[in-house]
Amino acid sequence: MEEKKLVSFLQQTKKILSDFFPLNSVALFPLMYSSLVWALNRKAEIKTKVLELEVWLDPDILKNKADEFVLNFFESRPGLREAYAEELSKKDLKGLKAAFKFLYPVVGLEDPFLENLFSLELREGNYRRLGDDFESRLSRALSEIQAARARPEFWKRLKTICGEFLNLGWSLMTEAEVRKQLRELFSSLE
Amino acid sequence: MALTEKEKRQGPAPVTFYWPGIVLLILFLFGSCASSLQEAKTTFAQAQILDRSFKTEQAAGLYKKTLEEINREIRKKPSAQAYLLKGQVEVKLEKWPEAEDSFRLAASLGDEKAGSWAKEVSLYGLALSLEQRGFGQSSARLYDLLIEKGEFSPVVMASVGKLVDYQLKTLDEVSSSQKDKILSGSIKTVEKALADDPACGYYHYLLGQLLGHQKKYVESFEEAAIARELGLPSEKILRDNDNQIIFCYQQLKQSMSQDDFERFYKGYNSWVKKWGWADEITPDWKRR
Repeated sequence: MEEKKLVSFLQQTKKILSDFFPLNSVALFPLMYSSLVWALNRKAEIKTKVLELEVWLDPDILKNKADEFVLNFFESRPGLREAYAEELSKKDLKGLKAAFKFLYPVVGLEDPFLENLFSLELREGNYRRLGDDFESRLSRALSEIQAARARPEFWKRLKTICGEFLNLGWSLMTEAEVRKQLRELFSSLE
Repeated sequence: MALTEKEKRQGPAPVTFYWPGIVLLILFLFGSCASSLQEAKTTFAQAQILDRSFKTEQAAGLYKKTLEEINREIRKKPSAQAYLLKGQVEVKLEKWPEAEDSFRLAASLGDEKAGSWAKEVSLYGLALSLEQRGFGQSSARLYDLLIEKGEFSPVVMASVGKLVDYQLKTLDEVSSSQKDKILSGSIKTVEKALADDPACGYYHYLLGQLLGHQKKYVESFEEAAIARELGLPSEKILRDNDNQIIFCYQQLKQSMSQDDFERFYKGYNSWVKKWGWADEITPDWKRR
């Protein structure tokens, strides 16, 4: 994918969608990123996916995991292993489980919306701040999206953007490759 | 419009004159009402097929489409059948309070089973709100009651998951012998549910998780693999189930003898190939 073309597409998208969001919005980029990833997967209507955000963020998975699973989650990821070295060395499962609650949906389940909402923390490996800010930033982002989706033009523009994104031609790339490229370009947009 | 002299003499046209038009109008109205409910039923059936065949995201889209169709039908012609279908779709979308209202309306319009479904949905909603307010034990009793006496399978399934998660939450606060007792009890609950519905991927997922707590990693892997094959209710559960599969693989790699692991690996590798994973620990959705 030609980078110049994609950058100009993303800048245009940002311009169009920023009409719906407040200045310094926390939801704009996560919504852009996750919508493009969902569009790429063609898993469902974008509207359905955005409406499902709140449901998705309260997963009906079994939240209480075995101690070994939690330890493995931190130990098998170098960034987490480093950030939580103290808890790991002391086998402080209480502390690790408290952090796991926030980190697992972002790092373990790789939700694209959350991945972008905390992109800075993920890039910097600042997992502790991710945990500290998780609830407040998420609830702010969801309320911004709620306000945006109440405006009738919102869905139309989002749908058009996703359609144009697919027309850029991604058929030869895997989701992981596209996500990687998008992540890099999104950081330059911020 | 003024009548001509001729029309005044003839008087109003006989009813038979309008018959073909009236019949066509009735047929049109009847046809459009029937087709609207029929359309919703067809979409619902398609969504259920997708649900069962593991395409949960597309299924969610179709459930929402069904809801739009059934709301159109209800605006035109409210009926017990339409409200019953609406309630079922709302359950699929986890809109519990709305589903309860729909089942109550279906019951008031004459559907017998809708009454008991409404009660079950209402109890489930109550259990959820008790849990959110921190009354864990009371909510667990309600989930248990729904599992024992419930007849509406989506509510029973959701209650099994909620009860098991609540029981797991208490593990950190008890001794290891009590831990074993709680885990065995949870496994019994899920096995009982599985006996009634052996093809339910979600129950196999729960069993896989519980066996992981017991450190029975081969069995846990097998249950998680069955769950993946049978299909799971949402992508987030699928991803969590995949993480359990990878976790079991990593634990077994560390703990098994080389011969045993080689035997296990042969089977594991064939699943990984079937699922189209990049390697043993990288499912298709995982960032690389």
